[in-house]
Amino acid sequence: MRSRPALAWLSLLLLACIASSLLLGSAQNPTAEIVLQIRLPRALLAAIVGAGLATAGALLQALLQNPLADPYVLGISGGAALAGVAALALGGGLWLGGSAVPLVAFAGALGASLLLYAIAAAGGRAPAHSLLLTGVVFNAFASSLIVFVTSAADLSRVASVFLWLIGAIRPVELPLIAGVAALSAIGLAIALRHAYALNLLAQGDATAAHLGVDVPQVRRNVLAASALLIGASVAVSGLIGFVGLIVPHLVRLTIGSDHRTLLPASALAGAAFLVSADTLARVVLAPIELPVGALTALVGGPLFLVLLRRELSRLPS
Amino acid sequence: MRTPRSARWISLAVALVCACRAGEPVSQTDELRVISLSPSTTDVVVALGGREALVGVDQYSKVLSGLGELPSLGGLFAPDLERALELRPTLVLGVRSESQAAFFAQLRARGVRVREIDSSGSLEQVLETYPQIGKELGREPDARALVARVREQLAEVSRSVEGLERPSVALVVEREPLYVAAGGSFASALIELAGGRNVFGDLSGAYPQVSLELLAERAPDVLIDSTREPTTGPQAQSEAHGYWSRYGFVRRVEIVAPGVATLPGTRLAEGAQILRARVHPGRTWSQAP
Amino acid sequence: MSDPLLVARGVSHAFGRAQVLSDVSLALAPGRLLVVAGPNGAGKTTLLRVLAGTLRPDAGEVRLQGAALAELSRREIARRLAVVPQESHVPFPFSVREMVALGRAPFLGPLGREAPSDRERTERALAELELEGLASRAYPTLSGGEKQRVLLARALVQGVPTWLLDEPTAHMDLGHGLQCWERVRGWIEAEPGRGCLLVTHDLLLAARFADELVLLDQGRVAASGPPSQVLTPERIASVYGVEALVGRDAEGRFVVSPLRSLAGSGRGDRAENFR
Repeated sequence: MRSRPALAWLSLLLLACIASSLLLGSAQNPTAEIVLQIRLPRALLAAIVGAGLATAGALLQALLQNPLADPYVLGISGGAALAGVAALALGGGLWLGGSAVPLVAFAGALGASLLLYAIAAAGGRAPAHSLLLTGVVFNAFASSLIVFVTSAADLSRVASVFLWLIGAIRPVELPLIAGVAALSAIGLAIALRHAYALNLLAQGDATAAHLGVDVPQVRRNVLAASALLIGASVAVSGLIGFVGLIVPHLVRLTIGSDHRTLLPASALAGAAFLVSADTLARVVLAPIELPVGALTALVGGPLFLVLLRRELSRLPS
Repeated sequence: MRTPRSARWISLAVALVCACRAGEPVSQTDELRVISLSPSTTDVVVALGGREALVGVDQYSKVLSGLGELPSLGGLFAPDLERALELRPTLVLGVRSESQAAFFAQLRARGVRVREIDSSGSLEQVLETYPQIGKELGREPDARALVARVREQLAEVSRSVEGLERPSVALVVEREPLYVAAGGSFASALIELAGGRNVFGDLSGAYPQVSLELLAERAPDVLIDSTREPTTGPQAQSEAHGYWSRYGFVRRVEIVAPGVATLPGTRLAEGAQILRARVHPGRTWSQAP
Repeated sequence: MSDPLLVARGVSHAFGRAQVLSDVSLALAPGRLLVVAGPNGAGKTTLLRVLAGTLRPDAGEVRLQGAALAELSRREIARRLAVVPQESHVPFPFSVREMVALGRAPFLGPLGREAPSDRERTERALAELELEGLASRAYPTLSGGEKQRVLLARALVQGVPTWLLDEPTAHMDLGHGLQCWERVRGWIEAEPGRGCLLVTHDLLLAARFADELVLLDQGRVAASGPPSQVLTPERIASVYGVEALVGRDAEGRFVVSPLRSLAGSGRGDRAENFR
């Protein structure tokens, strides 16, 4: 598929998904107020978070040279989750206009990325296996701390913590949405600047270096972009899974591996995907609203297994 | 080699005796020793004059019912079995729940009488729990009197708002995800008694999750935010207003402490009075809330 | 001899306590195929990394087209030197054309925008390596031999005078291996000023194709010079532990023929040391 028509089609798809998100919901006779004040911010947030997670997934798949890597594998999300859960569970009185938890979670994401980089990097280089191992350990550590914190929490907070961990598009104020959009835009910009270098990096560190790429610097920058994207998304909507794993992989299979197209296409596809998933989550059991993370896991889990089998069957025997 | 062998037999015998004792039922005496594992049952026990019989409660009961000196058995989810057995209870009152089921099974295996009180339903079901508890304590007459007293108090509240206009009300017990009091809860009945109309009264279930859209569509005149402490002072007011003001459909926000309108103890009338004050502010009533 | 393309002087390197390279010197002149050979563990891979600029040696220096390697940026190195790896495991379905086009990377801007001349180079390289039919295929689906051709095409597209090849025929059958050597020779001879340094443990093909042979043994240069001078039966026996016949064929080409291993197994002709 050639790149420009693909991006145009994806943009149209995204608009269509947003439009249907505005039209569907649990209210029988939605007023303009409902559509503008409740559905629109929600659709926008879902689009931004979906774009951020999908792009981060594509970046990490290139960084780790693994087409089935997931944005949460490096522990950046673990740091965000731990910080967010701690704020939610323990900071009962902390409610600076509703932004405390996202701010703390974002700080957690940045902190985790710095820690991750410091541990995994040796002399400025952060090779894939080193990052991956550090990330896995960090995630396990963060998970156990999350359990610890949740156990100590008040019963009334447990529902919020659970929702946060499984990931949901929550009603969030416009200034916060703008903040997330800005951070994601910066992350996306950095990523796009390195799109061509990522094509080279995907060939392996050695080959990329032989073709002139300053591998440590590109890794650093791309890791930073990932941290911004993951941090911003997780901070505001918790751990929505599978978007970052499935979307870039499917885009790569249908549109191609050239990151100059893959990155923007993943962003658009991720946005459309999450907006649709959230619409479905709101509508399928109305008036109960499923957390979108539950739906993405439901769809993404089996889909991931199918993709994994496909990858494995292509390995030389 | 003879001494070690006999020592072995002796220790084996001692171990056997201890094991036998461990499986023995708790000694039966006429003394009533009650453990209550939920604030609402504690409340009823105390109201029925059973304060002396209480030997242990859950940590929330300690706080809510002012029973500071009593030993705590932990939270609602995982009561401390060892401590419970230590207190040698004759009666344990708890809520029916998955997480406490194993705990109750252990107690029953040791001959302790366990009664699970289901107070999660409507007003009538809550009032029904008083005679249930009363029967366990051997204080049925007190229970019947309590029921009558509470009914009268509630009726009094209902009379006091007769003729007043009925604003529509939504009672929010959790913000995210959004949980409200619906028709199946006694809180809904309290709202009606307090002179309001529960916009979610038509939904079955006690405290279902609903979408923000639905709340917007039903646009209650009064939104009672019962989600967090503290509930007095300008900070609490501004915090609640700050949260809800982003939505144009929210007209008036009132704050009520969590549990006041949802804790099915004996203070139902008190809860109704507090709700009354929030639903019809600016009035004075013969009994201060 | 005109200025050498690549010169190593006194290169030594140790990993921890293991001295992997000791005082290695060599020079690649334009128009020549220099082969670095030696048994496994001789230090060939380490030497390659030093020559490619990805490993800084403890001692010694490398000069690429006269400039000190240590002072060149990665991009500058890539504009003078192409490295063709043994194999390339790329888990992403890039097309053959995309893979080959990446060879222009050192000359393109950060966004990788190609000029028509760049695209032409790619098409020419595809034609030369007989990859037109495979141009749209996904690289991971190709056979080993086809992948090797893609990597060679990429080096061709890079358009630099010096090639460094790392064990290109390690996993190939005889036919494909031979083709690879022939292509490399062909590339060198197609235009003046080109040179190739090839690392291998395939002694037989090295003997056949190399202009100059550097024999590494446990990190030291055991001998260097034309193959016929370097590969004496004594030296082959001492470095490889193999008894071999050397000589010239009917057309005067230098040929090495292994007879038997001297490692005490006494099992007769075994060619696997030279695979």
